[in-house]
Amino acid sequence: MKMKLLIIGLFSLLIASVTLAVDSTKPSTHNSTWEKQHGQAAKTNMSECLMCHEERSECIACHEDTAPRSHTVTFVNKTHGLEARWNRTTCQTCHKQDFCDSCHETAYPMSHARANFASGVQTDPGSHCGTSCVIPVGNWSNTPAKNCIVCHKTRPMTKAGALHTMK
Amino acid sequence: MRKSLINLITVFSLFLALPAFAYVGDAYVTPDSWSKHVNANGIKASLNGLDFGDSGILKIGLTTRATMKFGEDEDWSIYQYARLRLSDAKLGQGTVNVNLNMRGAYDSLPSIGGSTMDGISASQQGSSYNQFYDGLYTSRKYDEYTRLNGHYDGNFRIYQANVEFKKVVPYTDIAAGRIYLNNLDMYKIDGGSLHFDTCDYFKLDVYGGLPVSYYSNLKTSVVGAALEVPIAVSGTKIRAEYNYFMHEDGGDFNTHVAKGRIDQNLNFPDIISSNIYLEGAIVGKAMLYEAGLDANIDASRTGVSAYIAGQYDKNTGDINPYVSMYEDMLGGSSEYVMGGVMLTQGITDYVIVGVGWETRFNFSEAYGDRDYQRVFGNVDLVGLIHKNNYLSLIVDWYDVAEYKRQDSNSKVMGGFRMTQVFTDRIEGWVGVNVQNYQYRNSPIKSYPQYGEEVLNLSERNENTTMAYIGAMYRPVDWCVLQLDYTYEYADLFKSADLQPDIHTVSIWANFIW
Ligand code: HEC
Ligand code: HEC
Ligand code: HEC
Ligand code: HEC
Ligand code: HEC
Repeated sequence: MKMKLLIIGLFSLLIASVTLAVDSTKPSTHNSTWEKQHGQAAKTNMSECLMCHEERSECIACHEDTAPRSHTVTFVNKTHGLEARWNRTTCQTCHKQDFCDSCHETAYPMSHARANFASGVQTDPGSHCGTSCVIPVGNWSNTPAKNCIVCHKTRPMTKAGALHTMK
Repeated sequence: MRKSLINLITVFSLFLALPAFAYVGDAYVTPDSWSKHVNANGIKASLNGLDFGDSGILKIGLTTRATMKFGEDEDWSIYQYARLRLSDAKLGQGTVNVNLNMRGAYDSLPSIGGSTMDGISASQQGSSYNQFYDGLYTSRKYDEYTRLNGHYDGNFRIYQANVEFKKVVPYTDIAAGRIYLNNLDMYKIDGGSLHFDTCDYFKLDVYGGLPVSYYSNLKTSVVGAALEVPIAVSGTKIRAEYNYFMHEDGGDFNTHVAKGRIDQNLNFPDIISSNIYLEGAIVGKAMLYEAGLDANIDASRTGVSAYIAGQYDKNTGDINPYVSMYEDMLGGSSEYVMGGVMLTQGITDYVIVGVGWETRFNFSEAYGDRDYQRVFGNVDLVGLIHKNNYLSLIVDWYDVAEYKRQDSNSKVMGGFRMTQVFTDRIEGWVGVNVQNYQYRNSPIKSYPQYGEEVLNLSERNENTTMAYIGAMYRPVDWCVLQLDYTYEYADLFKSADLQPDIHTVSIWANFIW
């Protein structure tokens, strides 16, 4: 499948590579550092950008429609959380909090899938009691176990329906 | 792994063997399709358009994308993007513009809310293409549209849909519908805006409506005004704006956002083009500032960028979700200062070298805020290894310091991006990107007295390799085709006993007029 597609792609490349003269339609600001600089340029003078990007379809494509290549599988499943904590303003450029929450409501970390994770018995290997959540706290929403609160907004309920005990 | 390497090498050598001619551009301008290294999206902007009435121009674009993903499991999706822009249609003394950008999608794994904790039943249900890859699909399940429709993953969205009346009413531009506002944050709202352009000394925008979210009901409306004072003689632009976000739940969710910005440009043709900016903001209870410089010294082929930004005080309590800096998730963004510089130097017409540094310092502890140093660099070879070729070698390194209960992290990324322009109808690109992350499974230090699982807290050293190759072909003016193949290898999956290789093939067909 993959090979086939590659071959077709290459073939069409070969056929067409005989025409000449190529015009770049981009202005000279668009060099390889433009990815980092265009944001400020847009803030400075958006009307200039709109002369060419009149439909904004390029802006939409990167900022709203399709996840960038930097969002690798590892990024989505783990490291985006780390990066968001290094510099949350970079994510703010393209994401509001509603986006993050919508996923955190149902997507769980890999740790949750291991055997016995739901067990409330501290000595069970795999129990969630063996995570950072065990740090003594006086108040659920002010615990240093913030990496659970990223997704669990409120003090959790146990299976029996009671509020989770605090350490 | 090996197979795709061979593919890459084959294609690489093909690039070198084909004849090509210089794409005409100034300085170190990158080829047209350079954005494909940042985002594979293959939507092409519309063309010159069709005549509409006396003076109007109608541009239409239709894009179909088919994506096939395979690794542990298979998934495919089809997506349709449509856009329309009518510009400059005469009406009275003025003109009318119409903009529409929207998309819909069908995914082969449309079931909603099927994720389960035990993974096995999740994969049997086919609710996720990989039980640990669930996250990728979950965000889509919670699309507002999908929620409304229960099972069908239509993923329908309207990016913008509006009408603009320019100077139909003298000195006034009126826009209504789903619009991007003409303010510093480019908010997107369902509503209207009035732009008054009565004299050369100031311009005023007044607007109101409902901020747009594709993921949830924000329960928020906004009103605001933005004032711009351009001083043409000195190349200065002064702006001030105020926005009030109102939330159904009231309290601090009713949030004030005020911003001011001064831009000063300094341009001497062929010598230097530069801009200095100064921005200040009040978001809820927090005050933020930023100052920076972007300059291109054409005479010496040097580029300089520098900035400093920070936050004075913290947003304690609630803040409107539309302007939140993830306060509800990461805790109140605490007081910080960050800054950076970036220098690029061109050497002859063929080589550019760039280096950059960035750092952040936080004054107080919050879960979401870490001190770090970042160093990055690039070496670009422009038409050096082959005519009409742009090759950029990149590195990016983050070192995140240990902080009280939090362990240190690091990230190193290295790779290259290369685009070859073959003709004015064909461009191809290829890139490789290797990332290494070092972190502990839990970001919070171990407290062995509570019997934590040692394995889970052990230091992790995770690699991800991504390689992609693609091409764009325009057989006729009104049609652009694009093909992109991405390969990813993830240690993270391997250590979870899963297939670490993931392949994605996407094809786009654009029809544009
Ligand atoms: C090729 C993908 C791509 C396209 C196209 C694109 N952007 Fe961006 N944009 C980015 C990325 C990536 C960043 C983050 C850059 C960074 O922080 O290094 C960004 C950042 C920004 C910022 C934030 C700057 C800041 O510091 O707050 C603004 C504003 C912005 N872009 C506006 C635009 C506009 C307007 C357009 C259309 C004319 C556009 N972008 C097109 C990828 C893109
Ligand atoms: C003279 C026309 C023109 C102007 C003015 C212009 N652009 Fe572009 N820009 C282009 C073209 C053409 C492309 C390539 C589109 C494509 O991918 O096919 C592009 C691509 C981009 C990209 C993708 C990265 C890249 O280098 O290809 C970004 C980001 C971007 N523009 C932002 C902006 C911003 C922000 C402004 C305003 C400061 C602006 N542009 C002004 C023509 C222009
Ligand atoms: C596609 C689903 C998805 C989306 C969208 C998403 N996340 Fe996450 N997030 C996850 C998963 C899964 C984890 C658990 C990762 C792990 O195993 O540690 C996580 C974890 C986190 C963590 C905790 C990381 C840690 O180590 O403490 C933070 C912080 C975080 N995400 C921030 C964000 C932000 C900010 C956004 C929006 C810009 C966002 N997330 C969007 C799925 C998602
Ligand atoms: C240049 C814009 C841009 C920036 C900057 C950006 N993202 Fe994204 N991201 C996107 C787009 C577009 C999507 C696709 C959104 C959708 O499908 O609705 C996305 C998707 C995601 C996803 C889900 C991935 C998937 O494949 O469904 C996560 C998680 C995420 N982003 C986290 C982050 C975090 C955390 C940051 C900051 C470190 C960040 N993003 C920065 C544009 C960006
Ligand atoms: C990326 C988001 C995310 C993070 C971070 C997170 N969780 Fe969860 N957690 C979830 C989701 C989603 C569920 C499933 C909820 C449901 O099924 O209703 C869940 C369920 C649970 C359950 C119940 C398991 C069961 O089978 O009933 C426990 C216990 C739990 N989490 C503990 C924790 C602890 C402790 C932490 C911090 C170390 C944490 N979680 C961090 C998303 C997360």
